Parts: sequence; C-alpha cells; structure tokens
Amino acid sequence: MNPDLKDGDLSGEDLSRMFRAAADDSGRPFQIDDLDLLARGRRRVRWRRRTISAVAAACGVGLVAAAVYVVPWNSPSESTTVAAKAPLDNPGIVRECARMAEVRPPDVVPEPQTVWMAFHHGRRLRSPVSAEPDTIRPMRVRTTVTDQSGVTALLWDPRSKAHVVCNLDLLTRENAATMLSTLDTSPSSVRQSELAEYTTVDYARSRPCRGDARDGCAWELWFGHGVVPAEVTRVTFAAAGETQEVPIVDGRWVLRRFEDPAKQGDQPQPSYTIRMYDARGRLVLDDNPNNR
Amino acid sequence: MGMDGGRRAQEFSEFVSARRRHLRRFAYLLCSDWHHAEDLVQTALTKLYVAWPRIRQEGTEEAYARQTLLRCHLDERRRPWRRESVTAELPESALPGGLSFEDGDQLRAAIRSLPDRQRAAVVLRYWWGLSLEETAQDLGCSVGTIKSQTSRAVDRLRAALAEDLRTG
Repeated sequence: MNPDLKDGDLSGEDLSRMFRAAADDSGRPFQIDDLDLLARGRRRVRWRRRTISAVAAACGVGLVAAAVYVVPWNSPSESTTVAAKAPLDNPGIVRECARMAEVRPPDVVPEPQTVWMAFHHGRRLRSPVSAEPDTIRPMRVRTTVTDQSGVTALLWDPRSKAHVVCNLDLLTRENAATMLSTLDTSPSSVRQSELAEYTTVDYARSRPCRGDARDGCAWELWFGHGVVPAEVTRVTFAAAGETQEVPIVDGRWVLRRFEDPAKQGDQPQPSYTIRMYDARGRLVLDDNPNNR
Repeated sequence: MGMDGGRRAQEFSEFVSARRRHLRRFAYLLCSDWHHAEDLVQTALTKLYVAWPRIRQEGTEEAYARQTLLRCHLDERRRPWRRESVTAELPESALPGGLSFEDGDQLRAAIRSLPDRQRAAVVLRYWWGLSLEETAQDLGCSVGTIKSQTSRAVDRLRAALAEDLRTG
C-alpha cells in the first residue's frame, strides 16, 4: 500500500506516482507497426490533398459566381458571367436596370463601394421582378468594366433572342450616373448560347465629346447597343448617302463632323447605318434602319 | 517549404520510436483500456504524420501529439456508443514501487471512476506535468475550470482510495 495514502491526503507527487503505477506497461508489446503507421499517414496525406484540391475548385467556382458583386476595378475590360433568373422579356427588367443609374457616384473616380451599390441594384434583376414568378426563366448576366468609368451589364436568355444591355457611366458629374438600357432582339447571326463570349458594344453615349465644338465635335458616340463576337477594329457610319470612317481613339469611337441631331428640331431621326468590322474585316455588327 | 517523403518518414519514425510508449500510457490513463489506448495512439500519430512538416518546423511535435490524442479520446467519448463504462478488468501485471496487484487495480478503478474531463485534467497536470495554463490550453477551457476540475478529481480519488482502504 502506498504509505502516502494512509492519512487520506494526496499530494501532486503521490498522484504522479499513482499514475505511473497505473499506466505501467512493462512487458506489453507495442502492437502498432511502424510501416503500417507510415502507410496510414501517407494515405491520409493523399486524401487530404485531394480534398483540398476539390475544396479549392469549389471555392473557385464560388468566387467566380460572387464576382458579380465585387467588380474588378483595376483590370479593364474584365467580364463576369453568372447564371441568374429573371423574366428577360419583362419590361420590369429595364426598369430595374435603370435603377442602377440611381446611384450617385461620390466623385469623378468612383469607389468600389459605388459599383457594388450599383450592382446591388442590379442584383435585383435576379429576383422575380414580375408578378408572375412562374414565368421566370434562366437568364445570364455578364458584367463588364470597360475602364474605371463605366460598367456594362449584358443580360440575356439563352432560350430566346432577346438581350438587355445596361450601361452605367460612373464618370458623369450629374446627379445620377448615366444609365442606358435597351431591350434588343439579337441578330440571327448571334448565337445566344455563346453570348457570354461576345463583346458588348456601347455606342449610345449621348455625351458631348471632349473636343472643341468648333472642330465639329458634336457627339462622342451615337445611339445603340450591340453585341459582337469579336473585338471591333473598324467602324463606319453612313448617313445621307455619305459613309464616314469612324476613328477609334482610346477604344472609343469618336464621330466627328456630324450635325448635332438636337439642331434638327422636329425633323425625324436621321437615317443612319453603323457597321462594325473585326480585325479580319468581317462584318460583326450591322445597325441599319432595316433591322431596327 | 516542403519536406521530401523520405526525410519526413525518417524523422517521424524516430519520433514515434522515442515517444510511442509514453503516448500509449497517456492514452491508457485517459481511457483505461490498453487496446483502445493503442487505437488512440495510432489515430493521433496518423494525424501527426499529416501535419508533420509544419509542426516539426515549429518544434511542437510532442504537444501536437498529446493534444491530438486527447481530442480523439474526448471526441470518441462524446459518441453514444462509446459511453459504456468498463466495470471489471483483470489485473494487467505486477506494479512497480512496492504496490500489489490489488493496489494497482484499486488505482485503476479510482482513476476510471473520474469523469472524462476531470480525469484528463488531473492526468495532464500530475502525470504529464503540465502547468495550469498548458492544461487549460489542451482542454480548451479556463485556468479556473482546470483548478476546479483538478480539485474535484483529487477529492474523488481520495475518497475512492480511502474507501478501498476501509474495505481492504
């Protein structure tokens, strides 16, 4: 008997000795095989690596999906495509799209938060904006930051021929950002299933150009949105029987020596044709009165 | 920085050879079953192998093994099918230090009678020799909790052994 226990007291040393005695394993062989232990460990390492790879892949998909809310500011012309649900042909979409313009930019150079707010509104596009939720069809949304001044959202339904372009200009010093949105019918040459790979062409900025009006600078861009399957390298503008080559400056098409439509008063909108070509000379967009 | 497989296996094997007996005793004090203690040690060492490069660099192999083993035990004890308690066990072997078979059996029975966390606290404190803070860290609780659990455990051990003394 342990003499220290006789008085009913237990010191730390007693306990230590007790435990050593209780856990004595003299003569008891160790059953675990070293090689087996190593094999188990290696198996577990392989399993862990596979799990990490799978989780990383899943997180990557999640990040891509989440990127629509956090628009990459520092990388121009970045696009994000996500699956969304909304009735594309519902006029409510355009209304919702226009609400993106209600966000007033805090300064000339917008902050990321502003864009997030803009797309917070845009996010509602994916909520049922129709009173008939049953009509909701899968819709795709692609956001594009062309530079630090503009954000474009292209919305389309792969199963229909319609698409919507929402353009938000954050550089405008007005009370609200410039917002343009149109509900267009995609040309037959446009394959809806591949629309994510198309480039959104915005030639609807009705903003005075930064050049001198005395040089004939009236409008930077003309009316219209479009989607093109390749980068536009050449643009022609035809009106009143005259075709002009539209120079591309810093990625913008600057139309010069064209009379300000506002001066035309009650005159009907001039008939014009805009054609865009890719680097191979292929016609990628044909905006003419016949297909408007 | 990565560690090649051969070096990892060699270092790991050296650690296992040096510490596995100590870990098995610790596991036994926690669970009071030699076979289960071996299972616990195997599980803990397998996990140790996975984390080996990192913990080797930090020099915390022993602490990691101890904590992993402890958590494996406590996690298993939380599972319903592990809540059975062994009430009878044949004497394992003669005990050193002049204690008889009966004394060893009494000791084991007294230790086994402790609740899991009290047992873990008192084993970590008095067998592993950890400080109050280290014990609290291993068990994920406050120092005050360790103090109270240790105190209760010692009281229960004292009572169990005193009862054995009276009946013996």
